[in-house]
Amino acid sequence: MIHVGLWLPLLAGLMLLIVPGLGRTFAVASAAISLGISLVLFAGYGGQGVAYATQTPFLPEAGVYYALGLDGAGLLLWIAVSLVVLLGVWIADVPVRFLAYALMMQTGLLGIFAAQDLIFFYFFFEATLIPSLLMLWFYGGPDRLRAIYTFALFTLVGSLPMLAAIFAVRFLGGANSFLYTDLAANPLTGQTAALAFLGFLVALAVKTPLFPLHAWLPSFHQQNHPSGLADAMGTLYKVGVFAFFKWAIPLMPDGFREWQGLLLFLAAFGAIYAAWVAFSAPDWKTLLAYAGVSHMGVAALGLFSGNSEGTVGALYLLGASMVYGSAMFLFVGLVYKRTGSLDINPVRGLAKHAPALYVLGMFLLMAMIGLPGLSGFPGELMVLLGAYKVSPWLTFVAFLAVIAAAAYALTAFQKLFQENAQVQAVPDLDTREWGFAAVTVAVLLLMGLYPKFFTVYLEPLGKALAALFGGAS
Amino acid sequence: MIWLIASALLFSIGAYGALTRRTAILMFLSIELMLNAAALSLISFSRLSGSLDAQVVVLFIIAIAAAEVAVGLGLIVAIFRRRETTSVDELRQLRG
Amino acid sequence: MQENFLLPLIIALPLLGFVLLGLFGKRFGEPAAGWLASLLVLGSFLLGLFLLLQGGAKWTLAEWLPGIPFSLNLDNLSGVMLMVVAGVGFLIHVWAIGYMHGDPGYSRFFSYFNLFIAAMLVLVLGDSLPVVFIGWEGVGLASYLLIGFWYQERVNADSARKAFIVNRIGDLGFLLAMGLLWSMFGTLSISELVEKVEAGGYSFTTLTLAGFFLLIGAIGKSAQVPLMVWLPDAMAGPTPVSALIHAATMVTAGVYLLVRHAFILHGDGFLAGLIVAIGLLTAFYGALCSLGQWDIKRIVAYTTLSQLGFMFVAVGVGAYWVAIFHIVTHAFFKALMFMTSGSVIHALGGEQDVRQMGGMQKYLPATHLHGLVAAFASGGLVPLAGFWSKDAILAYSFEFGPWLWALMLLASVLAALYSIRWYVLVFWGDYRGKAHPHESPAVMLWPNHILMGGALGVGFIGLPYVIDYKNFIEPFLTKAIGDFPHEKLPVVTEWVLIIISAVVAIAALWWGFRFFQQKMPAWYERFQTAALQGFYADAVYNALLVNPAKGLAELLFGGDRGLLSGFASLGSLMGGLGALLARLETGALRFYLAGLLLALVLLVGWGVLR
Repeated sequence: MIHVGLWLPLLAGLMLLIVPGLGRTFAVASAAISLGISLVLFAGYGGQGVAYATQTPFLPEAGVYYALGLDGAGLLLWIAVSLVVLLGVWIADVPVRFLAYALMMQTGLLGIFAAQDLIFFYFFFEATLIPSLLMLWFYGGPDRLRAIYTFALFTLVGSLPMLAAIFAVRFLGGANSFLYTDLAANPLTGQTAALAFLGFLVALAVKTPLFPLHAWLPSFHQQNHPSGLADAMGTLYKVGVFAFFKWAIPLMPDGFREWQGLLLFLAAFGAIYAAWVAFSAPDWKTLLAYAGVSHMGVAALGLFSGNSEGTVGALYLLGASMVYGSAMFLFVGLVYKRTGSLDINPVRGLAKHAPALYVLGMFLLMAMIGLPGLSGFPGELMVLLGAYKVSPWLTFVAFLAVIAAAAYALTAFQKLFQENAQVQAVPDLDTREWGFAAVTVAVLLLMGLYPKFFTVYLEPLGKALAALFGGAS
Repeated sequence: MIWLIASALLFSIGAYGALTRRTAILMFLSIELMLNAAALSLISFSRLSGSLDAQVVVLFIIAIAAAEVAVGLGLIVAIFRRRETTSVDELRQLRG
Repeated sequence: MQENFLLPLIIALPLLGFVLLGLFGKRFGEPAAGWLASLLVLGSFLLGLFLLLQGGAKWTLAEWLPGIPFSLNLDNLSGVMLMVVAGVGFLIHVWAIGYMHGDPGYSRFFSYFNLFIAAMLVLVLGDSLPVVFIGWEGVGLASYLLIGFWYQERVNADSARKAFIVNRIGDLGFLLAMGLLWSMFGTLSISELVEKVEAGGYSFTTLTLAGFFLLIGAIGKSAQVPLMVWLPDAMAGPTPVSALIHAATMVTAGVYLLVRHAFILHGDGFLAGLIVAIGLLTAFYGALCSLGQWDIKRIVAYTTLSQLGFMFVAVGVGAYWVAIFHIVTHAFFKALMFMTSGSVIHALGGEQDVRQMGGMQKYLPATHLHGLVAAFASGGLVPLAGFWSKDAILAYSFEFGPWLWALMLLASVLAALYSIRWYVLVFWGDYRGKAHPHESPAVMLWPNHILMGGALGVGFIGLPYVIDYKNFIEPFLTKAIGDFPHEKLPVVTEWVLIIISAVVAIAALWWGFRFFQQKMPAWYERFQTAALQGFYADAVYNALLVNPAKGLAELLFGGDRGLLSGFASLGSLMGGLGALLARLETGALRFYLAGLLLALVLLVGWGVLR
């Protein structure tokens, strides 16, 4: 089941590329089946530990195994990815080839969450880049070449130290293979761990994204196709927090301890910094890019606190922001479809003619700025509770973003929907978009109103991580 | 032992020729000299150690060298036909 | 007190209204949408009353987040608040049926209104701080939506946004309080916190900090100095919104929060002093600003500020039940004052400038009566509702220090003045405008009748002990707040204080009644110019905070671009290095060959010498 779930999107994507005549329906069907599979996996999950673990020798001499399996966090993120991909291919008006890339990218993302072998993790982590680059290359804006350079360079340059660190972890740690269980049983210690952790840090900071390695993100989003599908996939690709949680910290707890102070600072500072910068963003995509950096700063702050609450909060916020962040980009795509522009100025007053779009936007926006009752809040709260124990001041700094977020989000929102200086007559949501809106809002509410539904799967993980640090939760 | 010295001499001559000649043909000739010097040293070492393995290898080298000469000369002829010269100092198009 | 599944139903009813009206509002039409919303709130009220009479209730959903239960608690304190929120809320709902008549967003309005009631009930009933916070931000959202209800006007949208952002500053305080309390006690459930605080074993300084964070939250929500700037602008919303959210209920949430956490605040000299100082400042600021306004709603908004200041002082001096008592009386007379203003606005076809009013007693007899009672209750005329609660605050202030009593007496003189000014400008004299005033329909009059009854009589539930040995509300509330014993004033002193405050109020009302009918003297005009601008608080904040923050945002945005080009130049540095190496690629075959041989020699040499 897990193999089918993993490879089906890639297969579907390839078929879309090769077989003529296949269209959106096929892509939607594939994404829907994917989501169905993920839900089946979810229903069959026991609530603890790594489920659906499989392991086949791939290069046994080198200790590489094709090993898959899902723990609570991986499973929830797997569902989030499947859901967002379905929403994306459902709503975005893009060529078929674009959809194919999105589906192929889905396999990469799912692989990142399911891999139980470090080499395979690395493979998926890097392979996902390819469809992402292709989308930007074929369907990006006029200045896309620069964006591609930046994106590719940040990612690839960041990855090389990680590759080196991967080998260090395996061979210096004394494990017999690259399997997670094996590596986690033989963690690196001391100065070596600190160095190896730095290798991971560089690669994962790019993908978190963590200040100051977030610099590629604004141009990446700005130049991507205005439908928002590529941006949504890009949002899903922000797996840094997960990778820190799953690989970097458990394999090198000593290394993490060494860098913890710096990491906490970067996360907290990035959170407020990006939120503040977002206020000056000239267009919606830049705004959302910075908003994403800010949220990931908060999530990273929780994870780097190293206690149970913070970890649960970070993972929850990661999953939630994957959904609302991606949905926000898709929503902006809907706006573009109507107005032909993503600039925040001038005012447009869309609410008058598109009230349903307005309501959808309001929900997403409020989820984004962490309104309790919607999906952003539970994660933020848990991060707060965890981080405050470790560093009250940095928590204060990071959560200044709560104020800044209200400022940038509501200001842009007001210009888009309210005021009637020049009302633009646009069509309201059609049936297909209504479906998108209904599903999105339902998920936002579910995640916001009954977080326990998901946190029960994260809590054991949080406790396990806290136990690594002497149970000082 | 004498064969080793001969081989070293042969190699030096070849190296000198390869560095000083400008004509592709002569450079090629010198390189062949160096190749054969290497083969010669291989054989002499094989004599010293009393094993025949190296002789087999040298037979291979000779056979491959023959093929290589054919290809190399063919290339030079092709270049001459196109450029009317075989001076390597004028053939700089391959730089990166 | 026992678990009762009916408790969440209290919240669910208005929430249902929000969902129904939000989705199918247009189909309900007018006035069905309004009645549906009103009846649901009435249902909440009755259900709450029923449970309260049974002695309260609890409801817990084992876990909402790890370690954090979703728990509701209806005790006497939250019960009183619930009565106010749902009771007064119901009346305002009914009144709004008339007031919002003909508005294109009729059903949307009631949908938001019900959302507000639901959120406010969550806030009041929540027993777990995160749950309280859900309500806390929920009312903020409802307030945002309702202030910006007519968002096509830029100024309304701006005001709504301002209210939300300023409130978020307070919310940050609330969040930090949660973080601190969690790290101290490992629980966020209020009833557990009470026990843990009693048990001791923690640093009192840290607890003070927790109280301070909560105070910041309360300051934001209750629009105290220095976060008071959003409330006057919030008047951009429809008048029922101002009456319900920005007078009777939401703005008192900060006071409620502090009272709920009396066990943290009590006995802390620093916090007490701070709260008293903030309350005093706000009471004076609001009163003075109110005296300079021309917009009828802004007049009332600033009087709300002033009364909220009174409540804060009550909390500061440790008179927690009095603060709640004042919330109750204030809810009645301030809602009445707003709705009277609304009726006048309605009668004049949307006119809000008091200079275009006057003489309304001839045109709107019933509304005039409401206005008279509201002004007298707000001004503290004995024996109306406002008098008793204000008098209780004064008595406690006297215990805190006679100087505070004197200042508060002065503040209540100002309160009497602004109340009577509002009354005189609107109802007295001759009509100065051109519209044709008409009395409101019954659906707007009846709620006001009931509120008027409340403004007249609700004070009698909390008479001073020298008059009535069976003060009803004090023991009722202290059961929930916690009993913090204090020495009662001697009977004689208490009587003297009561008489002084009564006489002073009457004198101030009378003097104001004469004064505001005349032409204003020059010094008053000068004062008025400053007061009209709220003593330039907005301008100062813009200059000191908002504009620098915006400027910094621009700067940082530019800087962030710079960051990218910084990385880019790192890249071109590498490129330069590469170009340097590329120069070795001459293309000269013999040059390569020489390099090759050189390398060979070096390698062989290294091998030999090793």
